[in-house]
Amino acid sequence: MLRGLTLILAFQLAGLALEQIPGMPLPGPITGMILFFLYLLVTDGGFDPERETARKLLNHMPLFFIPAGAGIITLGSLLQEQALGITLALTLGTLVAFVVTGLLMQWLIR
Amino acid sequence: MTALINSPHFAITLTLAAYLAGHWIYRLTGKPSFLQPVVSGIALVCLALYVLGLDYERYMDGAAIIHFMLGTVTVALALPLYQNLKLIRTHLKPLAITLAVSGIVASGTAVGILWLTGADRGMLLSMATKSITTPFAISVTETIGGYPPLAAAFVMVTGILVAAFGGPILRITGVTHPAARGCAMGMTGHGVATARAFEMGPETGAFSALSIGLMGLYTAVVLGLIMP
Repeated sequence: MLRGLTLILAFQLAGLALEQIPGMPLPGPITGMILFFLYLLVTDGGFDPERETARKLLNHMPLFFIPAGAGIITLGSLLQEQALGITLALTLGTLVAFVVTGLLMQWLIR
Repeated sequence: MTALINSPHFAITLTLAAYLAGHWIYRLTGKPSFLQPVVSGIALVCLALYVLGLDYERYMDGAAIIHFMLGTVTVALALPLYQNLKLIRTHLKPLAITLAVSGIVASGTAVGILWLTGADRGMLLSMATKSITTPFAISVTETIGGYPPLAAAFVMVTGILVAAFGGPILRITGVTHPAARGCAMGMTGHGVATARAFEMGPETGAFSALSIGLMGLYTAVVLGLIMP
């Protein structure tokens, strides 16, 4: 567990280091994910410690959204002001994207 | 008492307890997708902050370690992406084209509609990540200058809508191929809809799971390049 966590944290740190490069389009954690992914490719799937740690973290992924998500408490007035636009964007936008994605993929496969 | 409430001990315990309570509520109500543990977890934390009169910034200071771990779990997402990689090889071209179109349509339509109703820049940027997995959406929004909590909320609502209405819409539109069903669920509804996709079948679920990572990476790169 500890070995796996150390390795994953090292990739997170490397991602943060690369984020400092000017013009880098990706946030540190996402770059870290790409590095971890490349590691898995190179090592043909990695080893038990990091796989087990990654699985344990992913099992409780939603826990880690809670502090950022609770920030919604400070944005109530903004949500209220733009409620109509937000509702339309979420419902119509999602419907269009969903239908386009399904039909396009099916058409391309056949 | 105030010192206690302002300590990390309180913020961390509150977050974990709210998450566990969210799980409990989810199971007790028969697992409806709109009551994802994280939804009630966030609601319970907000309720506690409101009742105790605690500043959000104070709470966030205390819970900083949990927010830090969001970056760690983002790195860990490489594992499911790697495990679903073999699916890419079998459908490389259709997947690449669908992803390229789907990413633009998912962000473009939502941001476009919001722009027509006169929303401000921060709000538009928070909407752009609505179809990607929450940890990606939060870190991308932090980088491009939106409101991360709104981005997280929009992601959750989008995932819940796709999970709830995706099945009937696939039937109406005649999308029957498991790969196409999985892509529709995962590319537009990320992890929340993927749980539903696995109930439709293992192949649909696997394509949906793969789509989460692909859509997240693609959207993050495109937004990072056009919004420096």
